[in-house]
Amino acid sequence: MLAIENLSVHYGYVHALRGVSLRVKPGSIVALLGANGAGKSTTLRAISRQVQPKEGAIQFAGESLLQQSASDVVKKGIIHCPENRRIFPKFTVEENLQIGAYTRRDEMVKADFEKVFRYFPRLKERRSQIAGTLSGGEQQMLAIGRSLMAKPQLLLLDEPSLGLAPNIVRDIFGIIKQINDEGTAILLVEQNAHKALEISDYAYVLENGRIELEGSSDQLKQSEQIKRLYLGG
Amino acid sequence: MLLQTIASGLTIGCIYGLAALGLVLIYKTTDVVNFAQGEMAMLTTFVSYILLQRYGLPYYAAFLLALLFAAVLGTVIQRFIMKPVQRAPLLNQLVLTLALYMVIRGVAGIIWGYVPVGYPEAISGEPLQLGQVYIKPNEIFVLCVSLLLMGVFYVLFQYTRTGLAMRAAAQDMQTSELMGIKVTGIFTWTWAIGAVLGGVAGMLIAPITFLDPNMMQEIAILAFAAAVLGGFVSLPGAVAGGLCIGVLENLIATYVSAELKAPFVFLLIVLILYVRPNGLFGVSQARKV
Repeated sequence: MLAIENLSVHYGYVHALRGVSLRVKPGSIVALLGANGAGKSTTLRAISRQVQPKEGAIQFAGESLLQQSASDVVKKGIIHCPENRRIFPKFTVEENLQIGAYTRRDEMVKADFEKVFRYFPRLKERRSQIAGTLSGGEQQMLAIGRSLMAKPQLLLLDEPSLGLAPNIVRDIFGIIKQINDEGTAILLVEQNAHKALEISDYAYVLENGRIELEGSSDQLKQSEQIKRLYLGG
Repeated sequence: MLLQTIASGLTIGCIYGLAALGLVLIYKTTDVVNFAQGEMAMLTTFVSYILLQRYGLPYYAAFLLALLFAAVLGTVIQRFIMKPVQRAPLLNQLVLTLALYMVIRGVAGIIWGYVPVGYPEAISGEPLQLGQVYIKPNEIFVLCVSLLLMGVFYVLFQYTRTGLAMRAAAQDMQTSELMGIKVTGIFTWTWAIGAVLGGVAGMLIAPITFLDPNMMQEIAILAFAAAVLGGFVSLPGAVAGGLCIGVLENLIATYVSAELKAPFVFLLIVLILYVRPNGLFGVSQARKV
């Protein structure tokens, strides 16, 4: 579904990515792990056309994304839910969801509001509240809900657990799994390797802009290197 | 007398409000303060004058065609002048709008000269009496056009898909792109609408100021003042700021001195900002990191 080959990205003189290759199969959850600054977010930003790679190829459903605009990528069903949630703080919850469906003009938008509210009943209670006043967990729910409003085929999730209490992280990961069960492929960037390996099918570990390790999530959970570096013993 | 002064002040305040609205809209969405706003309005007013005088079009046709010109002018400026420097530091973009201000004024001066000419009112006629207040039909026209525009604009901004996208881009450009919004397209819309609002202000004020390349000098400064008074990011604030300044200015001109009206208005603005540093409708810029 998504195939990245030999991707390199530079920010000025800084090499953020050096020849990254990865794949996401339809209906799977793929985790992208690594420390701060390893290039995880940059990979997502390259896919959603926020940064222009220097080299390499990004293909989605057999088509190259590199000549397309950010808006085209959204229309193809690749939705990037950015780090730090980045909800629109002055919009109400409902307006945030509405803007998520910006590229859609079909009749099903209304029904999808209800779908998002089924995933996140708390958002329904707060639909007319100003989003900036929500708690961190609610903002993350809103950010995911907003992405769902675009009807993603592939959801790029950047650090959904960042700064959230453990019980909320559990809820959110449960919902990510549920979204995936209903057919959306997910590329999940996480620092919380433990949680990410639990729900993903396959995982890549980035270090200094290179893929250092990859394998099925079950395999990686057993890997000594992963245990030492990311799972704490 | 007092009521009369306030009523006339409100009419002119509407015009300031429209001009301020155009400024605030562009600033809010694109972060650029458009110093050329007044000169773009002046250019639009000249175009309407040519349509009226040389081609003998009726007022309403000239008015609407001139607004079409303003929209195209705003679009062209955004596309060909502002867009190429969109990623430059904001200060550089500001300097570019200052350059535009000088270029437009200079070119207008070369083409049309600096001798002020009269500009017709939309509706002529004897003042109507409403209680103790006399209102000229043209003032009613100014009020109606301003209120109508503000209303249309409010609906566009608050209830349409493009309006939603404009408000989103004003908050967070990058994330707006992730929603599939073409931010450059939104910027173009913003400049077009901003130019139209300014153009309306220009054509409405021209019967009072007369038409020449310097006609918007004072109006543009008062529009800035109105925008600042309203908080510079608030659209209702811009309108309220415009109305306040219109009324204040008229009160001072009537009861103190016509020469001192501008200094007094600015003195009052300084006092208001002393009490409310973010303007009447502004919000403090404290941000969570």
